[in-house]
Amino acid sequence: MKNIIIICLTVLCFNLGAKELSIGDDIVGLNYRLNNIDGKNLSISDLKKENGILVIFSCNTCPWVVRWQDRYNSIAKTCENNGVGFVAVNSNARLHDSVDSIEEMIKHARINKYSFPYAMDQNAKLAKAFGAAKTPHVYLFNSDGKLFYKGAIDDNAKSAKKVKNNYLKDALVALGRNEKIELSSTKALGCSIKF
Amino acid sequence: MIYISSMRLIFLLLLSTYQFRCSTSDLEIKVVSADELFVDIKNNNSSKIVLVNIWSTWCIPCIEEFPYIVDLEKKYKNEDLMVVFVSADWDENSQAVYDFLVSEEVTGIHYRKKEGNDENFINEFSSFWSGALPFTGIYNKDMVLKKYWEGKKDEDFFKSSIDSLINMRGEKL
Repeated sequence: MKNIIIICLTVLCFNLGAKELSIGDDIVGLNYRLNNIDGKNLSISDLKKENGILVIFSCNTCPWVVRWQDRYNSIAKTCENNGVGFVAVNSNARLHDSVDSIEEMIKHARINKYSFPYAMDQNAKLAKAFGAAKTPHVYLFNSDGKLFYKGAIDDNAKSAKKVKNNYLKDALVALGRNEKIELSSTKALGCSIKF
Repeated sequence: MIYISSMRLIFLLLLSTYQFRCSTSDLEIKVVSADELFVDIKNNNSSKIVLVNIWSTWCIPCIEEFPYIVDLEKKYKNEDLMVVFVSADWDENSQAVYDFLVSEEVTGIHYRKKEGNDENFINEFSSFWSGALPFTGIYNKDMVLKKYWEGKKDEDFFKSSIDSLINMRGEKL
């Protein structure tokens, strides 16, 4: 009987960990330690600004990240203009000793001129807490720490010029103006997070 | 000496032509939307269940699980299981997709996703799919989703998932 209860609890915990945050849910993992490429330890609560925080699950090698990342600096700027904090998080724990090591992250950020914090999520703790499954994938929280928008950056990974729907930027501007958005959740193809 | 070299050259030319014809005639890659794919499957399927695996040439977990999914098709009877592979590669990777399939010695009809409209594509396969690759969905004859998972799984996981559906009575499927 005891064993059955332990198994049930284990399954329950596993499922709870895997469940993705829904729109309106409270932010989790506020104080989890993230190792930024500048050598400092950060947390979501350190980075959150008056209107909220944007977390992008990213990495060094995923072809979708590689295509979309030419928009990262512009997103960082939009965050700044709208009083929203921003961090790109690398949760590819299985690759943290190889292509997604902190050294490779530093190199990647330098080559691609990242102008924002890019931090390692040790053991993918934050990704598991969010129920995040892929890169790139964004979670935008409002000033109350409620999930306001999640999903894709926009509708065209291959070309910023051909974007028709700027989902994330529209959500950021709406958040800055304290307005509602119609599309609070979108999807795009991407790479699985390597937990 | 010249005669032998010429004969050798002709033989090599014939051999290469033969190999090219084999690989092109035995393998067909259709570029489709999710809707077109579902219609194509329904028109060609005579199996109890259909396993759809969505992969990409640059997705390492996809490449790792690909060979044993190919083997599954051989292990199960035609009337039980149809396996469908769909590459999510962009147009510029079409040759890489072809080369990979040839290197895996697969034949028959394979699919590649039409570019654009990712969200519709994802939701057509499963509203629960986040968009992460690889994705595997198992559908009944009418292409109603019965099981799905994201990320790489081992061969035993595939087999037990397939077996549990094959062993179900028709009305439940």
